[in-house]
Amino acid sequence: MHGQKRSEYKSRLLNPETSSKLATKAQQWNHLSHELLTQRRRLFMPQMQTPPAAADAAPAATLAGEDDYGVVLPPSKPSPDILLAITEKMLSVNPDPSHLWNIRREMLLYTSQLHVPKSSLVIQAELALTAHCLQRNPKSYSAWYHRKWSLVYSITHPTATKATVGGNDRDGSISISNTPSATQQTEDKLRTEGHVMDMKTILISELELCAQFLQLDERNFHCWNYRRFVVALLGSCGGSGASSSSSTSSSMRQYATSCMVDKSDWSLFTGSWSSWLNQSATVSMGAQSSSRGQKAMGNIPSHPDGFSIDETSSEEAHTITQSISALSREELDTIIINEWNFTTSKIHDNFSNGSAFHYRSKLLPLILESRIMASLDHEGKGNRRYAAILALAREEWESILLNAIFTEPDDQTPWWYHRFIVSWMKPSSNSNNDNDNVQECEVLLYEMADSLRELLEVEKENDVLLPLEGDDVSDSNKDESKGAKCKWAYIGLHLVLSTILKLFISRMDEDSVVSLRMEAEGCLTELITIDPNRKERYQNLVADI
Amino acid sequence: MAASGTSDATTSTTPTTAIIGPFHDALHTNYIINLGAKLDSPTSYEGAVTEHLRMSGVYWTLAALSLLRNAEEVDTLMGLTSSIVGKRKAIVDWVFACYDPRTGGFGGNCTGWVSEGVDSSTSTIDPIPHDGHLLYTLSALQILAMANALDDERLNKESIVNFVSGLQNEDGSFSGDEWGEIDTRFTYCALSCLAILGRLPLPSWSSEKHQNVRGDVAAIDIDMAVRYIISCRNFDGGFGSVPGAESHAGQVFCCIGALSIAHSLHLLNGEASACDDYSNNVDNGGADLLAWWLAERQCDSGGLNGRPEKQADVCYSWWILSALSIMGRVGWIDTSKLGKFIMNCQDDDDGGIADRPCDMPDVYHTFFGLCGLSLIGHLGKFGSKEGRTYREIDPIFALPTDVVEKLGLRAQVIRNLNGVVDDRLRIHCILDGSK
Ligand SMILES: [Zn+2]
Repeated sequence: MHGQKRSEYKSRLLNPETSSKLATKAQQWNHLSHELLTQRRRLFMPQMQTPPAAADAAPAATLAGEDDYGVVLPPSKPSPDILLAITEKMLSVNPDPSHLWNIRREMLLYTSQLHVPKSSLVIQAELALTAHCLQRNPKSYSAWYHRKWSLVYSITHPTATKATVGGNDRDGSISISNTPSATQQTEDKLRTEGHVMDMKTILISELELCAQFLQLDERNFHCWNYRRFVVALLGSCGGSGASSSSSTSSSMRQYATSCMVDKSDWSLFTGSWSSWLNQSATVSMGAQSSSRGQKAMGNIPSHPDGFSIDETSSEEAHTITQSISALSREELDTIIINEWNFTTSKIHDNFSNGSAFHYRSKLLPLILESRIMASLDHEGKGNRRYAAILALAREEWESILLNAIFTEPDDQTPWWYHRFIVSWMKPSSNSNNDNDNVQECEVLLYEMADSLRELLEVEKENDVLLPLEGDDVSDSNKDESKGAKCKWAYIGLHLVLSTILKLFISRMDEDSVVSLRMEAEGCLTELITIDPNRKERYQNLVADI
Repeated sequence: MAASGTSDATTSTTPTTAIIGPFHDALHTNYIINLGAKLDSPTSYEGAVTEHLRMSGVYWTLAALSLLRNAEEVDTLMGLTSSIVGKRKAIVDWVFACYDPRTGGFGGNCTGWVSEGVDSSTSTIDPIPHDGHLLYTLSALQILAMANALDDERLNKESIVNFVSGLQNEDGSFSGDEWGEIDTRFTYCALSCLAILGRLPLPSWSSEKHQNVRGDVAAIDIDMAVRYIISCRNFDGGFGSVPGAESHAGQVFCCIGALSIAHSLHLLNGEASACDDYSNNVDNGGADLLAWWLAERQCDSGGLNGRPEKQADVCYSWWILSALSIMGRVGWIDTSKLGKFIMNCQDDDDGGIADRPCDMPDVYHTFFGLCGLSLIGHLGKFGSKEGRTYREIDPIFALPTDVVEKLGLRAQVIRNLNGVVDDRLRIHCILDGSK
């Protein structure tokens, strides 16, 4: 078990009080789990109903959680509200099981069709529940996904969604016998308040939530993924509903099944930023037709009251108008620059934040485009482009990388980004970059080499100055993943030197070639000694030269 | 680079370095055998917390034991195909109870399953499966494969194939279930499921014969599936869960495993433009960059981490070694140091392997620890010490190699830079190493 100390875990189990508490929790969980699935079956498959005695006569069960409230299961007909309350209780305890979220979504959609008007998916309630779950387990795939699903559903089904201000105060107590569900209560309350928040505002506030989670764990890749997803949503659909007026390319879409976000919306879940580069001003979402069609709960047998989940048969079947907002290029730029600045501050907080470097690597091309677009001079576009790449590469080297590698030379994180920048700034072989630019590339590489030589000198001096640093001290202070001293500076220097040799060998005199080759080989020889774990790879590189 | 059908290299890459012991065969076996009953108990907290993924738990359990015991022993000890009298019905029967006919996939568990020996009056309903999901469908098929039960008449192969193919999206990606979560993990699951069912189409660029495909219509668009994986590649050579997501060693295994199953490893060296929509300047580094990034996951402790600046963890022994093994570059890390790290994570009192030294073991890390020891050749040596022939793990399908061979599964691996192919990989198609 991740991070569970063996001795502590075993002694906890030996403690009779703890173990009986855990046993009770387990029984409660198992009971609810069973109850949920049997009630769901009875709801959808009355013909397969269990003998009433079996489930109904069962004593009301309570699951007393740490929040000091329990779900009381009444001996009554199954209802979506009860199922919603059970999922809420179970997921608050353990947000991982995806089938529990499935049942929750199923019930949310089910009730949104039963009730008039069709508006019971209160996005704020789902955002509050998932936030609560994620505070308990910030790495829960299913909880993050449910949050994504809620946003996408709200955007694609604006008429079936209530987005409201101030809905994040979750009811503390849930009593579901003979009273409306928590969701309904919240909904009623919010309806009277009547503030409808547009999706764009919600999306912007999601970025703030991400910032908070990344404050707690700067490497939480779930949260970074979610952030990229939110940014992609902002870029692809801006805001729908109240805020959007210009329905430039409204797509009429029928939704035949109600159970899920339309399958053709899959692209909204990928968090892909590629569309950002395709449109300069307006990015439209557009409806993709799905070749494989929609599926899922259409197959569920109809509701006992004659309600069919397959809505095509119902006169209520309606089309939704996809309103596309027109984010101006300035707005898009602002979002991207905001993300760029976010990574800058994260990296300055901690040069070991590989997640922030990664995110930055994905922003870099967008920043580049935005700078090229911003420039009014459209002459010689190809050269301008490469000039802009080199300018950005120099910026990254001078304002981020130099600082990072001189501060933490043994931390591999910035070195991977350095490798990326070196690779990114190489002149592409097929385009005719003008001589000035190629020369600037060469100059920057030589500057890098000089700085890395200097770094190695500094590190060697430090080694001499601090010969008495005891093994104990360095062992306990040293992160186990840090590796050998100066290793990464040698790797970086080797990279820069071999890049220079590859790109500019034709412009160099023979002496320089020989000396650079020797220096590059020297790096590898040094590496074989100081980093023997990976000597096989270094030996392969020596063979390459 | 050319794909060659047969291998002429014969030597194994098993390291020659001395290894340390002791390896607790009896304790581990005991731990694994008794674990199921423990988790099945309605008062087990651990059982309740992991209830939803029991199908994978059972797969890890069976696969772990399968590395230490032969198929017949596993069957008897675990009650795989027939019940253990008075204790438990056959695992295979439970697997079928978890089949979700509504979706066509297997769920992670079912409710209302009555084990033999339990008072049957407590439940009067048929078991109700959890919703079908790709993760658990693969685990179920892996269990059935180990039980030699893929021809069981209860297995509705056609529905499973439809389930899997219905989850592919237009861009080639796969959702885990009908609710739409997308992840490269699910691509691996989908391809592995179809391969096990003998329904995987080969990509248009493959020179292999379409020996796997029955029927006229390809179940999925394999070219798109592979392109999607390549689109998840990052500047460090690694892969993320979706395009743009950070590299993670677990995700690397899924992507490399999927490329291997799809006979498409040559795309690791493909054009940079295929790697990323818009960073057209970046050279993607081929298999070398990825293998190097994986090699840099090795910490001073010898253990492997999943991302830079993270702690070492036994489970990455599997995620990373399997990928390195597929790419013919296991030698790029110090295998004997890794072996020591895994050995240090054993529970010397009660058996099992933990994520880190002195932590509490679980079946997941026990299985992946054993896999790690197998992939560096240490497990085989422990076996000879015990007077047993331990089975080897296949780095692509995560099943014992004899099971993979029996099913006739044939993926792709890269010959290592010295031209050598590990013995266990010789059932697969060999791609000559880059450079
Ligand atoms: Zn782990």
